[in-house]
Amino acid sequence: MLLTDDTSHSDAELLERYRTERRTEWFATLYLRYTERVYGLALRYLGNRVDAEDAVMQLFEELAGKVLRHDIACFRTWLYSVARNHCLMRLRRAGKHPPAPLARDPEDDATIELLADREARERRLEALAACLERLPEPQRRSIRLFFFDDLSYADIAAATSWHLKSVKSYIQNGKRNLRRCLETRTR
Amino acid sequence: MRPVDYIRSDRRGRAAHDLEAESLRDPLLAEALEGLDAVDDDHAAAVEALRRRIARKSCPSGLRPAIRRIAAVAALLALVLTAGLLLLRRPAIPDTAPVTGRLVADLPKRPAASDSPLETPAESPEPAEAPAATLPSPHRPTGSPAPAAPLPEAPAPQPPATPAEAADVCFNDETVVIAYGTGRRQEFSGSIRGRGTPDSTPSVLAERQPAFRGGTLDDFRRWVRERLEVPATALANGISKQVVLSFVVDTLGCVTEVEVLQNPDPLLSAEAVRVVRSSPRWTPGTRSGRKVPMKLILPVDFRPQELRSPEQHLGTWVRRQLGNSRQLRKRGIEGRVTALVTIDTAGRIAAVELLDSPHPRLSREVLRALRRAPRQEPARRDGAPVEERYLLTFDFPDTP
Repeated sequence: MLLTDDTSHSDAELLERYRTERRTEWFATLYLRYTERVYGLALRYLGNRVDAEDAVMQLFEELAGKVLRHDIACFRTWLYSVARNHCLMRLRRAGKHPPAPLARDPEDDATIELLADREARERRLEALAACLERLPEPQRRSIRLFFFDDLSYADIAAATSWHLKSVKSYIQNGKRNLRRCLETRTR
Repeated sequence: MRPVDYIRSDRRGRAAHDLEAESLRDPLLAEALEGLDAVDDDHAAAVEALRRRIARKSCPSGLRPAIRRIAAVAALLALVLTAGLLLLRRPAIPDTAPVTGRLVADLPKRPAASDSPLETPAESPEPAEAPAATLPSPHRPTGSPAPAAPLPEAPAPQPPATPAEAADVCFNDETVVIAYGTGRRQEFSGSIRGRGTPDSTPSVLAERQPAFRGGTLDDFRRWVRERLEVPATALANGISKQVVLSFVVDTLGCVTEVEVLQNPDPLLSAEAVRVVRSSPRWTPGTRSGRKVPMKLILPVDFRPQELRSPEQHLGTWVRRQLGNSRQLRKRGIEGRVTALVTIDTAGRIAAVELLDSPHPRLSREVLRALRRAPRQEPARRDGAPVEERYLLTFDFPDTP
C-alpha cells in the first residue's frame, strides 16, 4: 500500500492512476499531501478544531467521487477552490459571516515569479533596479531582504526592528508598486 | 518545512522563508497558515489524527483480512516472547508484593526512609471497593504472582544497578488507569492485591527506598517538572492544578503501573503520565537485602505561566531551599536579605548583587540557593527575550 508520501509521483500522476485503477489509496495519497493545508484553511473559515476536522474528512469523501467526474488541470488550485467553497457553504448554512478575504492580487504572480527567480531577475536587472530605486525605503529594504537574501518575515523584523505585520505589508505593497512600475517601463 | 512546524517554530531562517515565499504564490497555503496561526490548538496532533483517519478509510476492504492475520501472528509472537521472558526472569523475582510507601514530595526536609507510614491490612480495600484502581497489564514480566509454594530462599541476587544501567530508559507500554475525582487515596494498595504472598504485604518497611539518580522522590519531582509542557488551553483561567499519580518502581528499576489518582483535566494528566513514563531507570528499593517493587505517589503541579514570574519563582525557590534551617536558627540569625538578581536572555541568573543582609552566613545560604535555582522564563520586550533585573527579598525565618 502506498499512502506514505513519496515524492516520486506527481499530483497529476496520482490522479491519473486513481482514475484508471479506481483504488482509493491513490486518491488518499494525494489528499494526504494537502491534509495539513486543507485543515488550516478550514480552521481559518470555521474557527475551531472540531468543525475543521469534520470538513477535512467530509471533503475527502466528497472529492473521492468528484475528481472522477471533473476535468482537473491543476489539482492544487482546484482543491483550493472546492475546499474554500465547502467552508463558505458551511458558514452560510450556519448563518455566519466568512472572514475577510486575503489581500491578494493574482496579477502580482508574475512579479513574484520574477523576484523569486534569480535568472529571471538577471534578465530584467536594469528595469528592476530602476523600479526598486523608486520604492519607499521600507518597501525596498523588505523586498530585497525577503527575495534576494532569502530571509523570513521574522528575520527581517528582527533585523530592522519593524513590526512583523508591517514587514508583511511592506512586501505586499512593494511588489504591487513594482508591478506597476515594471508595466509602464515595458510599454 | 511543514506548516504546523512553521507555526510552532520561531519562524526564522531559510526554511521559514521558503514556506512564506510559497505562500505568496499559493493561496491555499496562505490561508492555511492564517488559519493555523489564528486558532490556538495542538495542530500537529489534529493533523496526525486526520491523516490516520484518512489512511484508515482508504484501506480497501480486500486487504483487511490480510492485515488482521498479520496482526494476529504478531500478537501471538509477542505473547510467546513475553512468556519466555517471564520464565527466564522468574528466579530473580522476589516473592513479595509491592510495598506501598508514601513518599510525600511536598516535604523535602524529611528524610526519605521515615516517609513511609505502614500500610495496615485494613487500608487495603477489598476488590469490590476498588474497581477502578486495578488492572495491571497481564504481560508484564515483573511483579508476577509468586507460585503457591515459596520460592527457594536464595534467589540469584541481581547486582546493584550501575550508574550506566540506571540511565537506561525502560520500555513501557501498559495501560494507564485513571480515577476521576479526588477522594481515592485510600485505594492505593488496591492494585497490588492478589499478588504476592499475603503475609508479606503489610507492615513492612523498605529498608531502602527506590532512588532516582541517587536522589529521592523530590529529585524525580523536579526532573518531571522540568520536562512538563503545559498545554496552553488547560490553564486558561489562571488556576494551578495538581495531578496526583502513583507508580510502581519494579525490581528492574522501571517505572510501571502509572495510575492517575487525581485528574483535574485529562490533558494535564496525559502530559504528566507522558513525562513520568519517560523516566530513566531508578535504583529499585530493597527489603532484607532483596529488591522489591515499590509504589510511590507523586503530585505533579501545573502552574499557569503568568504565576511563574522570576520574582515569585525565585522567591519560593530560595525560601524552600532555606526552609527553616535549624543551623541558622540556632545561631539566632534572622532578618531580611535583599538581592538584585539579573536574569539573562536565556533565563539564567547572570549576576546577583546582595544589597542588604543581616548576617554573612545567611547571605551565603541565599547565594547558594540562587546558584542552584532552575532556569527562569526570560523577560520579553516585543516578543524578544531581554536581560532584566529583579529586586528580591527573603525573610528568615519565613513568616507568612
